Amino acid sequence: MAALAGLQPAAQALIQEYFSKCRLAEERRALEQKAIVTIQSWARGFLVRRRLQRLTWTALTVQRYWRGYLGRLRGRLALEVQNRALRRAYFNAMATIIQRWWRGFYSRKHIHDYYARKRYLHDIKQRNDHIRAELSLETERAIIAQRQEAEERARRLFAEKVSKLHHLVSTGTQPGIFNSPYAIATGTLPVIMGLPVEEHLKSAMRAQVLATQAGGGSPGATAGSPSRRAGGAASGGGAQGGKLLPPLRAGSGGRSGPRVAGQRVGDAAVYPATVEVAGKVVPARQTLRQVADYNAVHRESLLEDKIHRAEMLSQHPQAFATALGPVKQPAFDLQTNRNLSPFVDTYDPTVGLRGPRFTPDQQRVSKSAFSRYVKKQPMFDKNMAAEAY
Amino acid sequence: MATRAVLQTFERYQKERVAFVTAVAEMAKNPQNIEALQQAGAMALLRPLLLDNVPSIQQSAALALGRLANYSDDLAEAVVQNEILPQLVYSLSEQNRFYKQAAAFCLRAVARHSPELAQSVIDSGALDSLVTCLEEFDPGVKEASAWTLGYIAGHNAELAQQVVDAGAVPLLVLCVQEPELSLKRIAASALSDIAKHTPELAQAVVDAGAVQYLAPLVINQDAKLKRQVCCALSQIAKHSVDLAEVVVGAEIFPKILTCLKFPDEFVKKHSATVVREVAKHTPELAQLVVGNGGVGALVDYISESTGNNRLPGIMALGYIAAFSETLALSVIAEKALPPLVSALNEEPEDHLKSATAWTLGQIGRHTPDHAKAVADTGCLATLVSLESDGASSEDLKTKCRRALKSIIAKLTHLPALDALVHRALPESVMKMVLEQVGKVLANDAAGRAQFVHSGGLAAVQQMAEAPGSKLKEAVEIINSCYPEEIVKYYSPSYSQQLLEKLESMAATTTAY
Repeated sequence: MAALAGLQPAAQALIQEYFSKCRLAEERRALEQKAIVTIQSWARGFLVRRRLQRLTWTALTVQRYWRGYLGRLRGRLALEVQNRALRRAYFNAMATIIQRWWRGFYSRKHIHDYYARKRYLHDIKQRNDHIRAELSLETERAIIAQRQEAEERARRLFAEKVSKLHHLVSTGTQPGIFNSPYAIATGTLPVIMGLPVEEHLKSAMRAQVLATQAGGGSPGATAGSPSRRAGGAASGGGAQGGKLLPPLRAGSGGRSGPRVAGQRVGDAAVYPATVEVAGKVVPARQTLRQVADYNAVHRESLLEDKIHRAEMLSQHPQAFATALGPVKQPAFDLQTNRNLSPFVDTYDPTVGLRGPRFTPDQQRVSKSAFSRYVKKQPMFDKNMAAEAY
Repeated sequence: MATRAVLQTFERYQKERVAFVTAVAEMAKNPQNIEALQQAGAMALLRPLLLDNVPSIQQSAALALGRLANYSDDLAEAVVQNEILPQLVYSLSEQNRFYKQAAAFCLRAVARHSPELAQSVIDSGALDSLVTCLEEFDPGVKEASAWTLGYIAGHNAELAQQVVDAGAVPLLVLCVQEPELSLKRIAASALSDIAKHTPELAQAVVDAGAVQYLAPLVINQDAKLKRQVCCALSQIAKHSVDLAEVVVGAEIFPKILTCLKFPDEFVKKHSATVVREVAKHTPELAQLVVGNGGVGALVDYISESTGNNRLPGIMALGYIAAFSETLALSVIAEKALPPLVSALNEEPEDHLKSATAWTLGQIGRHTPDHAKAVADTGCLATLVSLESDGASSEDLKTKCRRALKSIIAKLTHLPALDALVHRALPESVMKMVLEQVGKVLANDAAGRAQFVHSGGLAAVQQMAEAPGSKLKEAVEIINSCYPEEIVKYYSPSYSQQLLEKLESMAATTTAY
């Protein structure tokens, strides 16, 4: 029991300690309670979190595997797409190259063919040269044609004029105006186209004579024959020396016939045995149209007209009355008494000596010119041998 | 006896009338007599003689009136006012052929002076009688009436339309087919007078089949007929593509090119006109002309002729060259440039020079080769001088400027551009020159040195320095091709800058 007594103070101390601890604990109860709650909440949270972590980790693992699978799928797809794009780009580039080459070729061959153009220009040049040569030929031809036509016209005009000048041809006694002996002597005979004018006139006359003889139809005949007749009538109707005019047609009606080629004037007529007239073959002598001259009647009437007029002229020295009134008589009429007075010429044959009066010398000059005609002297002496032709 | 005296009186009167009328007709031939005749009142006296019994008096009276009216338009007016026209027209349908010729001559003499007189001829009802005369047998009558119709139709489009409405065109085409040369000539000239005004009238002429009869006459050797036929074909072809194709379809090529060298100058001119009117419409027609060797013939024609006769040839070459570069190249290959340049230099008239300038522009505007060919002839200098010359007309200046612009736009030949830089050009043209120089210098290393040596760079710098100039950008581009020192060396203000620098340096040193 001693020990128990000894425990009393210890127990007292203990109870006091206990009460002080209880008091301390009481004082710290709220604080500790809060602390304990905090710790407990933290522990609980920790445990839950750990649990949650495990769950999330498993979920994550599942998700990771799933996502990996999806990603691999997508990757393969993307790889395919990229491959396709690469190939397409390559093919595009190649196609562009092909197209470029084709377009260049096509353009050079068909659209802007340099060599075709060169050939074209060469062809054009050849064509131009060819055309130039042709054109110059044509021009020459045209110039020649024009010149020929002008010459033809001039020749025709000349022939026309010459054919009307038969009266200027020289006769046996009288030299023509283009054939004067003075001109022959001084060498100034008028010459055209190489022949003296006289020869032109003569040949024109011969041609007209031929034309008349060749048959009645030619237009030169009727023009030629009246002129011939006039020539014949004016010289008094007789044959002239030196010129052989054919006899008047009235006496030789049977001469005409179809002239065989090569016959000349004056040959005996050679008739063909047969001749075709109006589609039928007929013996030549029996055709009326050939036997009779076509123009005979017309020519006869013209001739009678001429003779009548010539007779009138010779018997009635007065000219016929014309619309202007009676012609004045020439001043040198032989049959009047006017030439008893000295001759006063109203016409001045010499230029520059005009006036109402003339000196006797001038009058003598004019009188001598006309008196020759009055006395009918030939211009040249026909006995002179030099002037005879 | 009494009858005889009566008859004698009448015979004497008739003789006097004949003498009077023939004398007046003879006197009217001489222009000096005509005023005296007019004062003596010849018109009033001749008018009743138109209705005389004797045909020869009527003819001579009509002839005298025609000669009077031919002299001047006052007398033609007097003829109209004296109401002579209805009588002429009335007798035109009745009388013999000599009278018809004389009456048609009188109507023609009246109608040729002015459109109003021609309208008064139409108003007196002449058209129907004239068209009836075209159906006569005698070629002289047909000639006279065709001539009259041609003169009437030649004044303006309305008169030509009236002539066409009277039905003259088919008869004129028949006249062209007649064998007499003078009738063909006059019918061709009448058709050309009708066709020249409007496309519809030309179409009417073509519808009557004129072209197929006119085209073979191109090779006829008669000069005057060729003139009229070529004139008619050109008047038909000028209006539209279809008409030109009709004319070409009648196979006038290459026959018409032979006319280009015919010894008559009007034939040459008219055939060059035909070629021009055909070639101007489409590239195919121009190619047809070129394919038939037309270019060579045209070049020869231009070299040989002078003055206004050259104009259609020059314009034809211009139209051909305008269509494509190949055709322009063919024109150059046929040596067309020397005669064109000589025409530009020598021709006195402005419209010829402007046509030549236009043609040169058309030739040179296609590619650099064309431009070089044109520039090598040295004509650019002439164009510049013509453009700046005060005496040139506005049209000439415009054409020269346009030609210069189109040629320079393609010119890459540096010496030619160089030569141009030294000349005084208007600003717009100089701008183009400088732009071209810039483009060429950017690629051409050797040319740059040449440009500097020839003094071009110096000239260019001077141009940039001029106040108010718009050429600065172009000059900048040129300057960018060169190192800076060279540019500075040639710029005129550089020396001044150096001097200023020197002076400022002197000022600063003295300040110290």
